[in-house]
Amino acid sequence: MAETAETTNFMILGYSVIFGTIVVYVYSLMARLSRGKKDLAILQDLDEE
Amino acid sequence: MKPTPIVLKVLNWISLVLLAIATYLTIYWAPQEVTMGNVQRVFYFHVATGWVGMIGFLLAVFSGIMYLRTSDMKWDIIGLAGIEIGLVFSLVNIVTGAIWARPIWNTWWTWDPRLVTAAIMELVYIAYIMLRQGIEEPERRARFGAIYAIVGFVSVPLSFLSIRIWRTIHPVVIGSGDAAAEGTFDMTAGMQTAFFFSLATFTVFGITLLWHRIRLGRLQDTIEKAKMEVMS
Repeated sequence: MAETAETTNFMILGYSVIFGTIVVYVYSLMARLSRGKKDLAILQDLDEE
Repeated sequence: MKPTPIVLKVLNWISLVLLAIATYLTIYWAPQEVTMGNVQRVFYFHVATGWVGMIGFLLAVFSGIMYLRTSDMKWDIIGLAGIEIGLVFSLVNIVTGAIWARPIWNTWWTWDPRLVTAAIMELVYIAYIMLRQGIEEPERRARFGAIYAIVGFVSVPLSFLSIRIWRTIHPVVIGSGDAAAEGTFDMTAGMQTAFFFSLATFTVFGITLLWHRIRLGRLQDTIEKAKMEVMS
């Protein structure tokens, strides 16, 4: 019977990439939304003046 | 901008809970594959992210057709959201594939039909994002985006079918693949549960992110219009 390969480090690397990318993308979405809201508020103020 | 809908807030929490359960199922609950060991567990999210990526690109095709028929900018916003989500998940799919390949194929990358077509697909959509940014006029940009999304989608079925029509070392877990494939395994009942749960989880998570991205697109559209008003 073939021996099971010790590949736990690669599994950890894989899951780190998956969750790392998700966290970075979610942060990027939140940051763009927050920046957009601020920009819109400034533009609305300018439009009122 | 309208406040976050309650359904979206609920989806945020459902996604978080589902991701936690899927991680538990894939890491602890599903049995270890006897030859490959723990790296095989990456497969569950590898396939699920690839699935969400392709759904995102398919949504962009639908949005592209709808934009060309109606000229309604909301379809451009939805199409761009679909492609951005598709790009992120496809990137995860490609990178996790390389991580799995290192101990199984003894290389991070090989010029196999699946790997090449997946990389081409990713590049096609990166080019979409870059080219869009070079077009100032919104209507022209949306028309270009719609046509590009439809034509560019050719790369998606090409990537999906590559392991089924060409000689390849990439395994086909569902259905029958090439006899030369390396890293093939039969899924046990426990593995199937983790696999289908992961697919469902990433589908829900993909929809949640897509909704947020569409909201961002609407906000960016409003900002663009407000800028025009201020300047005029």
